Amino acid sequence: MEQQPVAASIIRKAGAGVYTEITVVEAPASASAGSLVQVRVSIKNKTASTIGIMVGGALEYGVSPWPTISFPNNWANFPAGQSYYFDATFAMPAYAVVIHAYSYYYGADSAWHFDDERTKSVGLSQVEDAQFQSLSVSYAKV
Amino acid sequence: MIQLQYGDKLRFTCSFQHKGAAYTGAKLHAAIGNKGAFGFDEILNNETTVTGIVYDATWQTYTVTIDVTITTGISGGAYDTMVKLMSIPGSDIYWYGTLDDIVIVGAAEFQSLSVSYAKV
Repeated sequence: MEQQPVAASIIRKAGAGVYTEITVVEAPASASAGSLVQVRVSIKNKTASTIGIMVGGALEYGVSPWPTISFPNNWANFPAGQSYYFDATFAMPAYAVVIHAYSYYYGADSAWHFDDERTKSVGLSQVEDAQFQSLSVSYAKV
Repeated sequence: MIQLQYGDKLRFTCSFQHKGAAYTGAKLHAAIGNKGAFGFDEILNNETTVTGIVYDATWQTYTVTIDVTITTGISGGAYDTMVKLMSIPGSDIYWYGTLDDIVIVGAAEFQSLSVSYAKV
């Protein structure tokens, strides 16, 4: 599939979210270290024509550079005014993180241009120590 | 009451609950013996390491079986049972069966040979 560019007539110096809008970043409020965190980034095409929109993301916490979030499907052609979402997962590090999502539109110059961004914080859940209870037993001759 | 002979196996099906972090090293210890005022006198036993305890956000039930083979190490008679979940955080967790619920049928025994004789 070919990316649909923003029409040349409406290309201009874009501030964040001129052509696209990240409407929501969905993720749990907290997760335990090592668990898989599901992320869904919903993006809306704000233009009156079909354009190619790409998603990107990074995990912001105490490492440099910030790890990127890999979206298996990271772009689509959006009909005018339509919204779509992109899913990804990442392994929760041993730190609270900020998911920083980015949207890009495909320009008439055949390049992706940054357009909007949104963040979502995911706290670090403390894993309880192992606990055991309620031993019950039955037995039989075998 | 369960009657057992030498060579039989008594299978204990044990269930317990876990929550929190994944855990390795927990053991189940099953025994046949005599429960008394000063504890449990084990005569036959077996032990198994419990594997596959993963992180559980809420209480989850695990079921493990452990077999104790009846050998000549135990004499005929009525006995008690005990299982403990051990090598876990905190105290061991004990379970005791109904008293004298296990009856071991001992080896064949003979005695009191008596004879009389007469011309025929």
